[in-house]
Amino acid sequence: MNAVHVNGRVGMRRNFVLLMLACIGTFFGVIFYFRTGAVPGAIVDSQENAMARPQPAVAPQTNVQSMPRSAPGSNTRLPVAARAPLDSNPLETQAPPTAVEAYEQSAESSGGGDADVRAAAIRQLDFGAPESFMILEQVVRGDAVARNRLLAVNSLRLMALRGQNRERVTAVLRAAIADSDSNVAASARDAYEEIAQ
Amino acid sequence: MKRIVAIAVSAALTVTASAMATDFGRHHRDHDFGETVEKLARIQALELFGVFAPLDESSSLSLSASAADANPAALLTVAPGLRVKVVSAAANLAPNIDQMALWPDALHPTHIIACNEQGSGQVGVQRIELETGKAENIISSGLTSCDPTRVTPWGTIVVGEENGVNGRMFEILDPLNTTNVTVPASGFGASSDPAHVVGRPALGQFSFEGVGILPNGVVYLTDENRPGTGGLGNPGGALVKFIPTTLWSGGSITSLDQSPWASGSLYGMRIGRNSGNTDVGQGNQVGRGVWVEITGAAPINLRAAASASKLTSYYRPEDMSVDREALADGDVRICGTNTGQDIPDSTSNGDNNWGEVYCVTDGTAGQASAISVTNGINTASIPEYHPLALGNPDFGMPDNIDIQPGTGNLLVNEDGEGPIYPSPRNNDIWDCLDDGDDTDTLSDACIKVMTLNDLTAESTGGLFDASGKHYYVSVQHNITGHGVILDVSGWR
Repeated sequence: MNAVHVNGRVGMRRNFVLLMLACIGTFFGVIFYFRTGAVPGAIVDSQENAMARPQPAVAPQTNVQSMPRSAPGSNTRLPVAARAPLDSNPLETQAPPTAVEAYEQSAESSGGGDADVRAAAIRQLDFGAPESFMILEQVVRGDAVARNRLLAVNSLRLMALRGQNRERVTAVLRAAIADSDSNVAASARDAYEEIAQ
Repeated sequence: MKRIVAIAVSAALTVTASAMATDFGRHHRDHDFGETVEKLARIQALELFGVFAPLDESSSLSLSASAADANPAALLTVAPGLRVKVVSAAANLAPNIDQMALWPDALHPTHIIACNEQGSGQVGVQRIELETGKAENIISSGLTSCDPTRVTPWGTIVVGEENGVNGRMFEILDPLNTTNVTVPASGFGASSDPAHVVGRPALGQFSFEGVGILPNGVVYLTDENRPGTGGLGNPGGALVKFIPTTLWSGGSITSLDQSPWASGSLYGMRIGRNSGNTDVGQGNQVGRGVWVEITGAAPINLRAAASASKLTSYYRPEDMSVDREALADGDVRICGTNTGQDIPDSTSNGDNNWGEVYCVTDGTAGQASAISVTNGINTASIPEYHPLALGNPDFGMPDNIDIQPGTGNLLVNEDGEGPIYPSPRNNDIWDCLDDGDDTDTLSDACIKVMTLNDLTAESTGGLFDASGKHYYVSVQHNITGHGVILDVSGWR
């Protein structure tokens, strides 16, 4: 066996080994490439998955636009964030400005959020005031925040138990039994039955 | 041919290597080590937290008023192993019970003395008999947003108003036999029973919330103030220290004239000691600082003093608790909360600032109580502030806090905005490990141990008895319209 033959056989063996390595490498490369989606598109997917994990809740854009805005340090009125009405009840009217302005309170004590300002105002409503029923009805039918509708349902319940606006309260509660929020619906149902007794 | 094979091999190896490297990175993301820590905390919940397991999630249930009235204990869901008993749901129990104190002490309590956080026209302070749940008024009117409540080392009750620069501290002698006292709605005029209820102008005025009392009468106080109050860029709430003129040496007083809080001096915490204590201001809220002397005639407007003295401010400092174990070792360490602002970011004013739990050390008890003023700085002790647990979307706006005797764990009442998220969730009570011997200064794990079932409520005033086996908590402004105080036991 001369040197040429030796080099030739060594060269063939080396080429074979290199070819096998290439095949193996390509095989595993393709496997890794597709198995985990380690491609830019898959990384995007991964980020999307991460976004799908529990996150601080984000309201739909329509709510963002409908929520009242307040300047830093300013007081906030009692507006009601828009929500799809339960039905087209003609009683669904805006409270007069004079009525809502009476319930302004400092942002510090309320926590500063518009929803909290509205909640604090609901808690502080004087049931004897003539506009109270209308404000509470407006909240039950129109406030985007279920917590505030719960508060309003309970205030209406207390109002009726005190003998005020019983029939009108009953009508609002009956409608609220169909509320999209199960807690509001259950509270309205309990209150409705309690008043009926 | 050789060249083609070599290129093919190189290409294949390059693809393989990069794919494996990318995959390695993905495994790091898929298997977050923090999740492993959270799982370990779950697995070791019994050993670490004294419950069989943490709660998986916050309740989204909101009981109706009639359901809550029928079973007030149902207002709270607790971790497996814990039990709930109703201390009081009396019709006259004030609806906004906030901080509470066990009377006469946490070892053998017979009553809870509690603040009611309402207006000056409503009841301010009540006593609740633990055995019967009977509630009676101590201060029937005059207080605005009564919040902090403590038993003093000399056997009185101290309460405070969370009421801006009009906030006041009052001291009550013999709270079981003091009934229906009225105090002026503002100022420090005499109460209707000055022998049993007096104001404490020496402690100054701001929105009182955190109160940490040392056995000698030195007291740390926080101002629940949000940044920007009164003007863009205004500071948030500061931490101040009151040192009595005469330190208390033990025993009980028989007259409010004997209280060590009749007179003393005030100092505010200002973080930053570098360059002759001048690296203060925005950007430096953590680490070591100084106590700045606050001077003036009592009652001092502490919020104005904080601004003038450039005291370090935080986002609405809330409750605080003295670390009893540190105190037993002769050291001062207080842990409190800055509640932040976690209004959902879908609203115009959402901050996604979920607040934090922090701890401040102040040297030894002797150093913390000494006065050595040079150039307006009390150099006797060095305050050092560090966060202990940072809030997150699931643990937002920490409010009341108590350190559990025996374990040293910190129980934190959440006062977050979960109830107004588009997918509402209730406020929870969290159990956090204290920092241990590891390198960092942070809690190693927090788990959810209780969750409310009332989206209109928050839990407040949570505190342990001396055994660490009974945790009393108020369900404030709950749907029933009256107060509810619960006793959570079963801690292993």
